[in-house]
Amino acid sequence: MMESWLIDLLLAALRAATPLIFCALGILMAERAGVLHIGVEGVMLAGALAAIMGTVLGANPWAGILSTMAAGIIAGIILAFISVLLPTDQVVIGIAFNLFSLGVTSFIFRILAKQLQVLIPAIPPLLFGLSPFALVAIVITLAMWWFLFRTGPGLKLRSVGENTHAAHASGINVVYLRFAVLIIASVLAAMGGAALTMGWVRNFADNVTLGRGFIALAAVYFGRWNPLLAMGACFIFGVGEALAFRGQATGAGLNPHYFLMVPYILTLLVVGIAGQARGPRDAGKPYLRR
Amino acid sequence: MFRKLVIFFTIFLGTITGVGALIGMDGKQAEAAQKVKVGAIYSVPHPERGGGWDRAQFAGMQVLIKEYGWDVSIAESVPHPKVGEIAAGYADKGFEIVLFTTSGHYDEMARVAPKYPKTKFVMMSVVSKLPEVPNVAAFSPDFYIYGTLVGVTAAKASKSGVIGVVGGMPVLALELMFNGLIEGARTVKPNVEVIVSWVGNWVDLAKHREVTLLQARKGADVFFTVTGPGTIGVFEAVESAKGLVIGYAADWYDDAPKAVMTSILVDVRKMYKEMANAFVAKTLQRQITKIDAGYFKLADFRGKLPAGVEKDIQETIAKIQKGQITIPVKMHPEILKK
Amino acid sequence: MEGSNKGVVPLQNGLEITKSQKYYSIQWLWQSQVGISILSLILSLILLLSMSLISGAQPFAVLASLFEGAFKGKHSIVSTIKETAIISLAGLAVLIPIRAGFFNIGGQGQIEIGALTAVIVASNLQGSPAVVITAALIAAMAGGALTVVVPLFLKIKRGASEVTTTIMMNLACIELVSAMITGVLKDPSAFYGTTRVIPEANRLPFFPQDLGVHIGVWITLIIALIAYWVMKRTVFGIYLKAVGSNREAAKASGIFMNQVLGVAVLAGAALAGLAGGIQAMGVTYKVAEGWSKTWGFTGIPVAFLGGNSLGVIPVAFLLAILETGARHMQAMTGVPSALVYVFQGIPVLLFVCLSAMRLLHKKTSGA
Repeated sequence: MMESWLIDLLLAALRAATPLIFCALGILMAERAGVLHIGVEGVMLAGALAAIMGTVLGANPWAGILSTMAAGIIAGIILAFISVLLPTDQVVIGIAFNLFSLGVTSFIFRILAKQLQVLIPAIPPLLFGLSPFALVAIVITLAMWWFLFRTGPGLKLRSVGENTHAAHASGINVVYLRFAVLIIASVLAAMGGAALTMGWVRNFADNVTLGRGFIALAAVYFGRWNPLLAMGACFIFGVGEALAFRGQATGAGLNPHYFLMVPYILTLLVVGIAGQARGPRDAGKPYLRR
Repeated sequence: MFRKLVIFFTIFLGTITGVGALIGMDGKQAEAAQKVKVGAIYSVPHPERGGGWDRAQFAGMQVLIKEYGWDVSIAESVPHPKVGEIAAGYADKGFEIVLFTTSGHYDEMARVAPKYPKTKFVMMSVVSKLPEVPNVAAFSPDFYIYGTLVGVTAAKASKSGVIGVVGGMPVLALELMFNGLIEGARTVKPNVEVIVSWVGNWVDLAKHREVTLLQARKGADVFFTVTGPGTIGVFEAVESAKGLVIGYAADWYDDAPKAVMTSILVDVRKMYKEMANAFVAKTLQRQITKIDAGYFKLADFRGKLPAGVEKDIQETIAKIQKGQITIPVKMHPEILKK
Repeated sequence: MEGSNKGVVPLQNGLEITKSQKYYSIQWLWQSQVGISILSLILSLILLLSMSLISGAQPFAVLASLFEGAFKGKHSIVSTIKETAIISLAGLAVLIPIRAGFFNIGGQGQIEIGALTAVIVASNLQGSPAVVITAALIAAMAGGALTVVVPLFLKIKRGASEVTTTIMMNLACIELVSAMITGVLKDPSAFYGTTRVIPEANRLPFFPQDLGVHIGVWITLIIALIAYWVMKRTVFGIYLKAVGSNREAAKASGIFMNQVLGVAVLAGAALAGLAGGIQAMGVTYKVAEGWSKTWGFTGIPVAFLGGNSLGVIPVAFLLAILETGARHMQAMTGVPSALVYVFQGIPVLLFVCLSAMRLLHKKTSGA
């Protein structure tokens, strides 16, 4: 009995962690290149809606995936244009974008409410009872780790985040690189949204993400900008979320909001203990050619 | 330079306001004489596709618009603390009726009603009392009886003897309903187990889903939920667990055809008609109009249950509605613990 | 450019404006700070109207109710003023630390904690209203400042980027407040998470009496003036600027960097806490689920767009108009509530973009 409870918990934790992992990978990649992806929550929402729209209107889960990617690309282009090309402050833009995305996705969902108010067909688990989204998330994590730390282009990307001007001096086109990175990061964040709606709840609702993008942000910092550690952090947070659900159902009595504080407190602790010497130094500063 | 800016800005602002106000006012003025102006307040977005109660209320409001030709303005996504402000806004503008759609708005209604004696404030949900002013009224469904109907249906349909109940937040309506449910289920199966879980909000899809799934793990095979947009999260879990769910207040079949067994409808349209007629006849006074079991109805089962079971349920429900079967009124305060 | 006769375009009554004069006005719209705000507002309005059309509402009715909601009637104007006050404080809460080089994104959490602290004190402290209210407001400021201690400490001792830490602290505080109002501090008679209502005696008094403007508004004004004066005219203000813009030079000239930074950051957070306290004691009289809007986040663009302590007020006023107007607009015209969010995000986005474009244009054209 105890065993199956544990397995159940772990599976639930993975379900909760999968959207976080996708988003965390996107944020991580962007920050390694020096771009603060605060708008990840908005992109996640857009991807979440796109996934449902594509699956329902295209009558095909692959259509859902394609439309998610399209949404990620479009959002990425908008964000990249605003934060990379223009000397704007990335935090302000991110926050304003989140609000904007919340409004637009709610609006579109409402216009199409009649068609979209159905449960999309369930996606059967693939291996070991894990959903395809979870598996893809794990694969991409490994791929990203390998890319960032074992390849030339990955090194280039990291160098841009560490010291933008030096990178530029050594011939890297910072603007192009950041532009491309932000688009890829947005596609990842959108996939996170899809993992939430398509892969988990099978429907959309206004603000379905409810702050998960920010939890992914915490995971990235918690995991010290390392894909493997960030994935671990997402999983830990997923366990926390799953415990919070169970706490309520079993009447354990502890206020669920305390559980929800855990990711952020943990991150602060980690930052406090280990310091932040290894974060990309030039993250967040708009790059202006001297 | 500065002067130019001030002039420009003032002209811009003034023109827009003037034009807008002119056009906006013009249309309304002419029709003000015939149409009754009603303001309605929801705390969820897009009530037409919200939770069961929101949908039923929305349908009720359509009655006012289409059959009575009234001018209904709908405020949505109003957080509870702001409800009073919006209600006051409507009253300020000379709206004749302000409708509240959930018993959770009672405090706000009590706060605002005394300040606007010319406006009627009506609560279209369950209340246990009314504020001490003459310009209020309420149409209060007997949610306890409603709950017993659900309980009887669920208990007869359940093979495992475990019923899962998911509530959004512990409002008065849900408290009554769920208590009724337990008692109703017990008249059918004295050993029935009813698991009541509270999500803590009306909207979090993922949480609704997981909470329901946990109930399924404990053996629940028939479910009932009263919540907001999160309803679909519950349905998803029920479908995944191959269970059956009873829909609340509106017909939920189209949303989850595989999972929805039936819905117990509340004839909110009739409630609204009564309210409207009372207003027109000037008999809308400070009283609580009880909405009894006669307003509740089973929706089509669409063959989800064997014919014998379905017939049994329908007959039992009919007997309860006619008063031929009485179900004891007993409260179980422990279900309110989170 | 002015006065040159490059092509006269005759108009109806014989009025003539030269082409170049028209050109000059448009140039001004593009090139000045205020012109850009107006431009972004116009574009946002156009977007709003198109979305209203799609959802079947009458565009002009929408526009009318938007302005009505902000201006028509004493009630609306007072709401707008009260909203301006809190947004201004939130803006100051970001502005002051940023002068020292500390990006305070934790405003929202500071506001909530400040509000909760104020409510606790105002509901439980015994004594004359004047004492209780003052104590509550001070407690609110202390609460807000306390919230930023951890990020401040982490920045000074560990070099941790405050962007990370303040966001984390923010989200943690919001959850903490939710935990408190649904648990320990919950009003037993309410069904949703809320504290008890503050007793009437201990609420912020109104001044002037019948207008409904609580003294919090005046407090805000005074604070803004003080802040402006401090930044521009005192030695501390100069230190602040030095620390923010050129750390090396400041260090070399012997200014105590961390002290200045600390004071600025704590002051900013205290102001955010105060904002929460004022709102809780002057407007809502309690802390409940859904009681607050995202003032903490709104404060960020306000600080940037305002530029200095007095500049935040007009920007806050504009945003307050959007806020009060938008909710009223939704209630009256029935446009989807989602539009309100769009309308909060888009003007800021547009403004920042247009400003940046202008900046870029200036740089590349060698201005």
